Amino acid sequence: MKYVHLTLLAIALIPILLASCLNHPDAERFNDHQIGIETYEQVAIEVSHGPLIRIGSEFFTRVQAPKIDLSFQSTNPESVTVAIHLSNMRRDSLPKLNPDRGTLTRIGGDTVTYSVVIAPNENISVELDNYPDRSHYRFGVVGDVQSNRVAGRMLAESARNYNLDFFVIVGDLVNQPEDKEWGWALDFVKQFAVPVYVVVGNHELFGDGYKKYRQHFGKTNYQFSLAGDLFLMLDVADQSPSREVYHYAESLLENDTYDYKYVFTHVTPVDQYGNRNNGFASSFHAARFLNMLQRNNLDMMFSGHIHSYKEYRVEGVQYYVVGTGGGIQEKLDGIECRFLVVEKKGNGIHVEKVDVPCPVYPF
Amino acid sequence: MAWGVLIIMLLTGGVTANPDSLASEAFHAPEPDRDSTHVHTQWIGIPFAIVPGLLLHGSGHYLSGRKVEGAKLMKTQGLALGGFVLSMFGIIYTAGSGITSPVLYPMASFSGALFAMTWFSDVLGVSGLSRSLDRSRPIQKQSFLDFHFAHHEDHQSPYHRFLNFTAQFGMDDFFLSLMSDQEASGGYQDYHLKGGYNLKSSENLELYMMGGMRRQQSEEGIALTQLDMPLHVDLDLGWFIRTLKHVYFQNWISYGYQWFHFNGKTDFIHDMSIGQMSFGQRLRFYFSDYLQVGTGYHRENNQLLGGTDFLLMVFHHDLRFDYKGFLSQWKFSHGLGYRLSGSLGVQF
Repeated sequence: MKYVHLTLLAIALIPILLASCLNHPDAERFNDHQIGIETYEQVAIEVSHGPLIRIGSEFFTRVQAPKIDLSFQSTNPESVTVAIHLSNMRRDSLPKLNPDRGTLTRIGGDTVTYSVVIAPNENISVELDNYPDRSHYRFGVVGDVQSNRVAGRMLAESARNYNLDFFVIVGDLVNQPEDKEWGWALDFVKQFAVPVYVVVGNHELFGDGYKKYRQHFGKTNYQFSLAGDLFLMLDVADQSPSREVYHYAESLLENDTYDYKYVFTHVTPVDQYGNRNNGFASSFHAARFLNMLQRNNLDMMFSGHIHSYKEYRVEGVQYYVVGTGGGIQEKLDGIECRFLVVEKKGNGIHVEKVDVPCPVYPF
Repeated sequence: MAWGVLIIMLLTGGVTANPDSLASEAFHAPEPDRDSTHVHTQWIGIPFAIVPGLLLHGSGHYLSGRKVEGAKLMKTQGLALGGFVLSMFGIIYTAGSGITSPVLYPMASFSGALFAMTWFSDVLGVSGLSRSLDRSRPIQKQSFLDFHFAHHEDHQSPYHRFLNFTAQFGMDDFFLSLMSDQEASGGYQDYHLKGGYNLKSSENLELYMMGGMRRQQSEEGIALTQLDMPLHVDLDLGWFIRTLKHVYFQNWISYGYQWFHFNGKTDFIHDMSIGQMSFGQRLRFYFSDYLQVGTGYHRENNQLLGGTDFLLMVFHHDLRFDYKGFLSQWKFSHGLGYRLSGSLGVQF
């Protein structure tokens, strides 16, 4: 009869054990491979940065970089005309086409339409560059807006005064990844009046967040270059860089042809207050990651997740935790919403802190 | 069908099982509790402990006629839930402030543990299992040598095969242990020396103040050194509710610093750690000498194995089997990766 009690005990433990084993989101972490790819009339279409959504014969993408590549591979014996609506583009001028193939038409605000006729069985690749021949830039960085509409509006209003080229949101743009919040987020980023590039955060990933995030913003790991510098966006939203993310970052950072190298993540490797564990889940892995960054001469890393401003420097690498952009403010530190303005000028990189007296949320 | 038969067998066993006969079969069985409640009403408590017991802890006892104990479990659950909600509200309200977290995180952990324990107690109490459990001798008071082999997988580290040696000398009022964890290629070494003094020992409470030093080093040039001072609380609430008597849990609160070294240089990252904690249940019952089943949650940030999601959950499950001075331990830990180990040892 004692075996009955052993079995009963095991049964009692089963729900706990199962519950503790269920959540393994890392399988999704690097599953970016099919993002930005569609087929139409025997033409394979690929966008390098952003999702590619087909509705009937029309294509839509939200561009996630200053410079993108579009490729078309046709096996159709007839000519095919393709038109792609590209949003999140620079508003004050049309991008430069290289090679000069197809036509660009602004259809309002941040959206332009690219139309091209693909000849029978033709393969072409076109580059759209929002900032051609640039040697300088100025961009803003904020984190953790978390669907705070009022704070978001104030941030965008303040950011518009800084003549920025683009803005980066280092994760937790939404609070809950629900349709109405995604809708708000896509409208909100237009308020900056410049392109906004997004990094995935933990709040984006609740439920089927990866799927929805990729539908709206595309890949969770991506990079671009501007003015000879590398901008690398990484998914460490679950407080750990997976092996694939680590190697992806290392392979890009090894390239020493860049003048400056930036990494943007949601979570910073090391939380100075270790007890709350808002850095990487394993500080051992954090140290390994920091070593890799230092070995490859990273210049700056920008992160969010912690709702207060922090900065620290390790072996020549400057780390910023940009603070909250509307999510619950960390009490007792006296800092409300804050964003950073990063500028590359002739004599180097300058970082300016901009405080915004955003409303306390949600209390 | 098979499940139905199994459930009927289990329920039938639950009805016919006599706790006293269980105790008499045990190798070193303790004197069983003499309970005045009616055994024949217990079986109905098992399903009640699950529905609605999963939500309202104590339902198993209450609906099977043991209203006093059921009500106590419900009150304790309410207290735990209140503590958890209060601490979580504080954590969220202050957005995990580094100033308030050292108090609020342990409070949330403690409340969460108590909350889980009230459900365990309900199940154990109505099933009669609590009679075959025994508090036994706290692990800090045991002396043993243990070797184990572990397989490790996580997101990043190239280290997979570990050999572990642990030696512990334990007496009534203090213990000293040395743990060495070596990765097979020599790429990672972990040495942990710790000792503890038994501040208080009673039927219901074992309180240890511990001190320890730990050195973890990998071939990438990363070294971590930690000085930790955990407070170990081993609490038995049997004085409050009879069915909690043989269920106990542990909670560590640690304080320490870590130094990270980069490529052999002396630069560092200062990563203060307060309030690292773990809790769980260790259930021991007499099988031969005894078998211990444990499951728990552990949260700390200097391990190869990191946690997932909210509160960075790393779970540990273990089995320890003692027989005539020999011991064997099987452990499985999982978070962002897993570690599986099996061991042989001697106890003296």
